[in-house]
Amino acid sequence: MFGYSKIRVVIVGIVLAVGLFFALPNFLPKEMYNQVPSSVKSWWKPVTLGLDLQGGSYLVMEVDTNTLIHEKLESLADLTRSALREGKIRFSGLKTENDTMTVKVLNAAQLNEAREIIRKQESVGLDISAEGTTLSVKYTADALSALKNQAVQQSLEIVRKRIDELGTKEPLIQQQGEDRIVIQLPGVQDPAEIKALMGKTAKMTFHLVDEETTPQMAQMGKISADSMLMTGEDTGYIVLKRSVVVGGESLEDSRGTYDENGRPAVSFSFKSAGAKKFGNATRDNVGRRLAIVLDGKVISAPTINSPITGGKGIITGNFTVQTANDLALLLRSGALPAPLLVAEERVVGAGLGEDSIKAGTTACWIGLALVFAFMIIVYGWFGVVADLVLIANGIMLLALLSLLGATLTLPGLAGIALTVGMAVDANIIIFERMKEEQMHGITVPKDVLTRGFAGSFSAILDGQLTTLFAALFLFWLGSGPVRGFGVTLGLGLASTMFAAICVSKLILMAWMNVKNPKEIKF
Amino acid sequence: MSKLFKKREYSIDFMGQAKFAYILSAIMLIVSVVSLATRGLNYGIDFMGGVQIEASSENEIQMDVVRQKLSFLKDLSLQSVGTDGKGILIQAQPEGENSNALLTKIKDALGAGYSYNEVEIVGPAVGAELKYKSLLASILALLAIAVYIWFRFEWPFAVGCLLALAHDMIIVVGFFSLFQIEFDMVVVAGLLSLAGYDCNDTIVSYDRMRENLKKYRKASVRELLNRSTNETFSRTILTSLTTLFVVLVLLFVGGETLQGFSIAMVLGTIFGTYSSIYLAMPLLQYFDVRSVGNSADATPDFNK
Repeated sequence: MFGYSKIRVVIVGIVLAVGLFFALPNFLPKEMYNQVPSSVKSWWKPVTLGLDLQGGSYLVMEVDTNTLIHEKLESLADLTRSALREGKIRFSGLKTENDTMTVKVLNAAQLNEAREIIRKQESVGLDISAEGTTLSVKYTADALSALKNQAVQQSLEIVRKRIDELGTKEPLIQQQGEDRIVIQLPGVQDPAEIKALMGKTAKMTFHLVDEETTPQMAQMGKISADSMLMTGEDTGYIVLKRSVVVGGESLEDSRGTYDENGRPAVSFSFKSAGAKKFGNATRDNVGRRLAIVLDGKVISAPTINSPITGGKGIITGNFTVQTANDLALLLRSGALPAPLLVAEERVVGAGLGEDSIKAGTTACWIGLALVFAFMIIVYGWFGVVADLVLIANGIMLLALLSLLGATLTLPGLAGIALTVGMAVDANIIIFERMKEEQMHGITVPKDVLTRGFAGSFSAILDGQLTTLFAALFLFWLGSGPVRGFGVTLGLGLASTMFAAICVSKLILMAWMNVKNPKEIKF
Repeated sequence: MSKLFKKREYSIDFMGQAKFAYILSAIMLIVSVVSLATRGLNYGIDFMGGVQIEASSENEIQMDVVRQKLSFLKDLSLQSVGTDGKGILIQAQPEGENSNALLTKIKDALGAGYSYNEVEIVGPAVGAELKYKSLLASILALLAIAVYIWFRFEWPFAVGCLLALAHDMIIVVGFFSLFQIEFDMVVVAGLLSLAGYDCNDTIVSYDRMRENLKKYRKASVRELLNRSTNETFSRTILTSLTTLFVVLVLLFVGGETLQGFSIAMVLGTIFGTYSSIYLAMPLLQYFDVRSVGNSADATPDFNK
């Protein structure tokens, strides 16, 4: 068919038809597209607009490494304290400061033994140095990066839960680099609430109150190593046992509720293991007080009136309905290993997004019109062919973007415009080559055509590939909008290759078969 | 009109003109490098870190009043946006403050009656990292392209292309420095796509040069360079023109966000065309392309 193998014609035709089908949602009026059944909508959809085009919030959260390391050291110190005691090693001045834990071993002969015991307390690498009989313990660089990565992994899960709980539509949550999380929230114009939720670890623990030590005694240093001095809004200074009765990780659910006096409170229920621990602890300590500690602050310390065996209870404290609901949300989504800090924040108003789309699409259309006109002026009928090819190219690009669920950003729109400008290059190269072949005495139209295509293919491919390299690096480099640009540029190259080589050859061959011209005139 | 592009047999002595181009390029490069060294780049928030807010007010904005209200901010810069005097762009460097608190402070200070179109906060670490990554990506992209050309052609072609590319990128970045145009992530995107697009013209000419080297085994390299450049001249100009149209349209109607990108692309397209004619090609005459080409006749060639 058309001096072109039948199978190739069919393949090109099918590809074009499929492309047209997948590009179609982008052109349907909204009301019409809305009537499409939702099962079809999930795969037959228009291009997803980036946050810069539809408005929304883009947040990059960073694990608060200082706090993370400090917390880790604190728990290492707790473990070390009991382990050294168990190993009958006398020590003093066990403390943590910044990124270092120090401990003075009283008997110099036990220094190495102490060192080994400390090393065993942590699964990641520790850097232990001795100065006299004082040991300084730090995390190694590898361990730090492993801890950070681990923290991000855990945080991702929890962040996802917290944001889902808030009912945000189509959030996108991804890890970026070693210690960052990217959160994209389409349509959210004020991410203050979300940022506030991310900034809290929501680490909850239950501790028995140390009734033998008063806060005054503790402040004077008369405090057992098993107890700690804490503070809270409701309770003021209070001394608690260090050991955790049960922690927030055992929680199954938590909801905002009201106590018997109608004040806002937070209900909780434990998973079975936690419920058992909680039941035992409350049974053995009836009449004593049990403190609820959240992120280092005592929320309340009610007296245990009777054993709580059902694993359910409520937390009272100084709550409003809002804070009770927030706390419940945080508790049921789990504790973050460390607070997340805002490293980057971009909020685009919906209006601005609309303006950007308008400007971007207008530019695309005007650019397209100019290129159309230029090609027809320069090449006449062949220009029309190039323009048809350009349309096919655009349809394929849109189809690819829609099908792959790529996000179209404002720079991505620029990428489309750029593709328009660059796509006709391929046709220009082919046509110029054809002219040249004619000048070298080749007149049979079919030969001119084949030679024109064959002589240009390598240069076109090389040119497209170099641009593809650039697109790949853009994809690697960029986040958000710039990445969208890389994607558009790369896909544009693919569709250009297809359109310029396959489609334009097909059209020209078909034209020749129908018209059977004696010579090709530009 | 069509005739204009029909006249095809050019016989311009490009190689003869090249020495003027070398001087021109040297001047442009020196100006660019000096400007980069002394004035530096006017980095946007992507690279600098800080806070940038685009807000619009219900009433006309009194810049002095706003400046006074926001005087607690470090490195405060205010700019009017739009034509009705109701839009404002606020840029500042927060000092170790939590971004939430800072935003609340700014919003409180401005008071009611403002709506916020765009709020951007970038931490200093993110900015510094992005600067480094952009530079790395640009260099790697150039090298990847050069390596590809080396495989497809011969090493002198890779060197010629790399030099021409580096030349164009330095001049475009130099332009941004000289006129202190804001340099942000989207500009880097422009530069990188430029790197990819820029060598297309060069590749077309190189492709022809390779063909001619095989065809005319006795002609001098200089002669063949002139011939190849002339033969591909019309397509070099035509392909650049179509792209130039589009990026010019982007520059004028694409909106403010794309301005930097468009400037980079417009300059890049112009200098790219210039450099592929007057640098990438003439530079080949200083290498022994002929012997390199003959010794490696096994170069993959799609034409056959």
